[in-house]
Amino acid sequence: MSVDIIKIQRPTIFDRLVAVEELEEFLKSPFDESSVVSFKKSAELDENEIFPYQEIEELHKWRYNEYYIPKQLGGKLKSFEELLFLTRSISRRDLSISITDAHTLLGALPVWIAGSEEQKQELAKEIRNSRSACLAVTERSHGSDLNANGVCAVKTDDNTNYLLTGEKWPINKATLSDILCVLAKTNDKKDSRSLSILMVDKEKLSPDTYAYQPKINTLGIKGCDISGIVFNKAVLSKNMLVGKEGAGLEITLKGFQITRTLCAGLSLGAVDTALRTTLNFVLKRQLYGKTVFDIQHSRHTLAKIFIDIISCDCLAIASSRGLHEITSQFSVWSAIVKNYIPQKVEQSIHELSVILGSRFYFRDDHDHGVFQKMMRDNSIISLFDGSTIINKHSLSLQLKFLAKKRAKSTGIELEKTLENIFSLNKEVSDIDYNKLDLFSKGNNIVLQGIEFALSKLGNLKGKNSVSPKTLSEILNLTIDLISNLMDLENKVDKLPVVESGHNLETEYFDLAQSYCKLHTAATSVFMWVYNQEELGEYFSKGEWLVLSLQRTLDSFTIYKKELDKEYLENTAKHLLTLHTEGKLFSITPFQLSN
Amino acid sequence: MSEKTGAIEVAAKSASITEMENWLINRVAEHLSMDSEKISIHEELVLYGLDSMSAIMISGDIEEKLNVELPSTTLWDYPTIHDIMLFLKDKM
Ligand SMILES: Cc1cc2nc3c(=O)[nH]c(=O)nc-3n(C[C@H](O)[C@H](O)[C@H](O)COP(=O)(O)OP(=O)(O)OC[C@H]3O[C@@H](n4cnc5c(N)ncnc54)[C@H](O)[C@@H]3O)c2cc1C
Repeated sequence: MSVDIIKIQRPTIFDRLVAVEELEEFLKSPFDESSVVSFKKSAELDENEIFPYQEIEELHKWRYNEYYIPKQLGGKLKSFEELLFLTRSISRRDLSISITDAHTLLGALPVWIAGSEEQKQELAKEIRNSRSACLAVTERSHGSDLNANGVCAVKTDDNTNYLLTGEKWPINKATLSDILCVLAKTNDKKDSRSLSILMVDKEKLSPDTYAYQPKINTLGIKGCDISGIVFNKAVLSKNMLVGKEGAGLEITLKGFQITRTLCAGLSLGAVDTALRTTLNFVLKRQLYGKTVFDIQHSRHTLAKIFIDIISCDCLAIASSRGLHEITSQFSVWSAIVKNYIPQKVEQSIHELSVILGSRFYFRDDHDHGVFQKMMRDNSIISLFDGSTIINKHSLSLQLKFLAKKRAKSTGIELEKTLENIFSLNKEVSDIDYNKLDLFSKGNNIVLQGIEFALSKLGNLKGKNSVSPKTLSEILNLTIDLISNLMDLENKVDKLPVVESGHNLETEYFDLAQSYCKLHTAATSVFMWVYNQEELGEYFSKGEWLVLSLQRTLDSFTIYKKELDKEYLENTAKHLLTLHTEGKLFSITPFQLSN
Repeated sequence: MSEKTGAIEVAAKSASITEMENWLINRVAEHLSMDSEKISIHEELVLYGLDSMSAIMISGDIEEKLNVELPSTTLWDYPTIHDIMLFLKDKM
């Protein structure tokens, strides 16, 4: 028998991403009222709809704003994996802060992706000085229909300037940001080359050429500046054009591929707190002479929610790394992440609310009412940067290509890339923004390589760290995953060609949803096989993976749906340990300030 | 190359170009749910209602058909079937 040792030393990811625990230490516990960002203060700001100026200022003292600037431009952004965890750390405290502040990255991405060297240097300097940016795409009358947009930028007769006219609404930080990247029409054709991105520095505008629409009263992130801006022949130098004229839609959609992936950090931060505060409650609350955690149904529900979080965690981590390694596939991957994770987290938060009982509804009782705030704030994530439906739609369009291409793949040739994505010991490569593509050309390495996962699983036979029973369950479920994937591909093959005009057959949306589940399940399998002995005993035993596959694939035919009670109990125990030790609910449980 | 074989190759290429053009018209018609006879090769496809994302998918179809690599935004930059065919000629 081979001798295998579960690593007891710290997994290297904690040292690679040392900034995550440093930020935690800097911010201190959000339960502590004297912290930089405390649940108590956040609740007060929210109740009074006050923008979190002071919190953001503190965050920038830590130089958080430099994580929005690529390291090649002197910033700290070296990997989206790191930014994902940093985003989780802020989001678990207050989504208003992370959603507001991270919007600077969304506003800057068009420049990082397509701007001139001069624009990049200029914007990097501004962000380093804590000036904030935003992306203004949406218009009141056109919503998701970007080609119908009306804001226009007309060249002046002498060809030196643009005159920008029209309204952008609703925009995060329309009023408070210093710099906006605006998507505007530069010709009247309403085709895919009619839109361009222009960088607008408000300081350089004449004050009589723009005005604001008032702050909108919102359900959540109540302190945030969700407002509008109206331009009236605002003069912009032609040097403010980002990329080529007509490249606006392409640049915007490419930027979304990155931010949609990072939205996972917002959702996972929110659900971390929702689970943590629920655990605070169930461990304290006495009923029938025991705690609520002692009630099997509550305990098992919490364990199942934890498993769902871990599935999202695997998908989020793999995707944040994948951005660097398989950049050209992100029209597919980002759509999966943005479709799957916010939706799943909304569902988990709802299930947690049932356990929290009346406390979920109270605005200031129990941990300063942070649960209801997270619940309200979280509900915006599935809408912005392309809603769940929009992402399902864009994935649907590629399903036929994905199905055809996978049939031609063996998986073996993908081994090296799979390892670079999934092996968490490895640093990711530098991202090349030029590789972002609006179409993945049928490629999705995770499902193309899934047969290869089977052989990796086979290699684990005989290891002490995983029981033969668990391994065989994982193998069976992976085989089920593959046969359900083939079944889905057959269904896709039979569907009529996608009709133009955004009027896709409903069945496409359903199949896209199923595709997301299969992809998510596959990322969990790969995450396990590539890190099986690296992330501690609970991870290594693989019981979580059995539960995760069963839950993710619940709507498919799988050989066994009933969840193993012992696995659930072990999961509940692990969850309790993470909670007691104040660690992140993740396969990489960073130490939190608690 | 003799004059005769040269002429045959030119004829074969032009036949395959015509075939490709017909294939493309049919493909576009399918995406638009339109009668292919009603599609003019000189009309901008966006005027028939072809949206941005469908245009990208058609460039994917062309890649598969010709077994070539094309920018995903090919149809954004070549708005009529005539323009697309001019662009594709060298690649066939
Ligand atoms: C708090 C907040 C902050 C925001 N911040 C910004 C910002 O900073 N910058 C910015 O540019 N925008 C921002 N937005 C706008 C946001 O991105 C849009 O609201 C969003 O894109 C949806 O547009 P809409 O609400 O007009 O819905 P619509 O586009 O009108 O869609 C309505 C419904 O139609 C259906 N639908 C639409 N398209 C399709 C399709 N292709 N297939 C099937 N069904 C479809 C869906 O059910 C959809 O929900 C923000 C919005 C909010 C609420």
